[in-house]
Amino acid sequence: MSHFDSYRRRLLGAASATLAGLTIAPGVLLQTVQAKADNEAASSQQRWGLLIDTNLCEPGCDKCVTACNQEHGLRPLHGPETDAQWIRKVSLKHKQSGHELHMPVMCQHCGEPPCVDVCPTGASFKRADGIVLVDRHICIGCRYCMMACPYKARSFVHEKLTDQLPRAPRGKGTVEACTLCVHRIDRGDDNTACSEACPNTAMTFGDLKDPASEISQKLAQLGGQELRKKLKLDTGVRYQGIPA
Amino acid sequence: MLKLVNIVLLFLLVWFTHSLAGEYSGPNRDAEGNIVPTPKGEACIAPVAEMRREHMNMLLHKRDQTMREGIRTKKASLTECINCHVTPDASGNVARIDNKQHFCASCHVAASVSIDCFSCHADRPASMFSQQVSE
Repeated sequence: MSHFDSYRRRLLGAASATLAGLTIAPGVLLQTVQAKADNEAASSQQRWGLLIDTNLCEPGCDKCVTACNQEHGLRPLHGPETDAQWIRKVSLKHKQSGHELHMPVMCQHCGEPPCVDVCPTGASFKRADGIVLVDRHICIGCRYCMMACPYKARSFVHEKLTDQLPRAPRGKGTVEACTLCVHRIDRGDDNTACSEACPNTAMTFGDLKDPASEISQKLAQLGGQELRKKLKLDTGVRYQGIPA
Repeated sequence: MLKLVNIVLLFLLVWFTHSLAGEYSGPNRDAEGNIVPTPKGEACIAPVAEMRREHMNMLLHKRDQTMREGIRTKKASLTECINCHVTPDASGNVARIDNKQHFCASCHVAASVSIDCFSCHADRPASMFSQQVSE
């Protein structure tokens, strides 16, 4: 099945679903998102996610990676084998057709995160709003989570670090990964550093549980795939334009 | 003559160690030698005695709230402690955590209490970072 066919099929399915949603609950679409107050806890009323359109993601561009590194103070230390990496640009080529795919891959913020299942101390956890984080205060650096992650999304900090940013504390001997820019979310921003930096707006950040949000609208129109969806991890990061 | 050389050497030594210690010229101190933070508000979040006894519990409580639930109130936030208490001197320099004059180090060194907060967290106020910093 070609990409176009899979798009068309999903578009038809999604269009009828959207229409049904409109007739059943028209009031839902009028909801507005309020920024969370400082003293308010993250709530399961939201589920934060990203939608990445691989058709818009350009080969060779790594602006999202650079922006992430800058936002969280990730600096190159002893080479790519051991340096922390919260986003990777992945390129795939279909051998037969020669079709190429380019996409950023980061922590997929699973609904059923394997890293949380295997963590012996409870340091890996999922926040109420779906963000998967490492509590580095109690992380013992065992790296089970890195083994368990099907997306190779986590990094271990090997070196003593200095000059970390106040918004992104990081330290030696702990595991870390994309936080979905939780510091931005908590202050009410509607984007992440990577989605803000993308020149082609290939990345859409938003609330998957709010049917009026841009990300939900886009997902309703054209759908979005989970990477390695057979694992049934219910990822918060979805991709468009990858083979079904 | 020997005395004079000694005095000169001593002067040079003092000057040299001072220059090694960095440009930070020291915090404001009261008559008893306690560090006086540059006031940003009316007072700290609790009386000094309570802060001395309870600050670690406050920080621990706040840490779990912020980390686990995303509650980012400023009271008892480590970032805000640092923002107020680690104050630049006249030339805009601050003491880093390895300097005994750093607000946190000043007590912890004397009390021989090792803390590892600053192996991950910033030991300088957010205003010291050139990049846009929030919290």
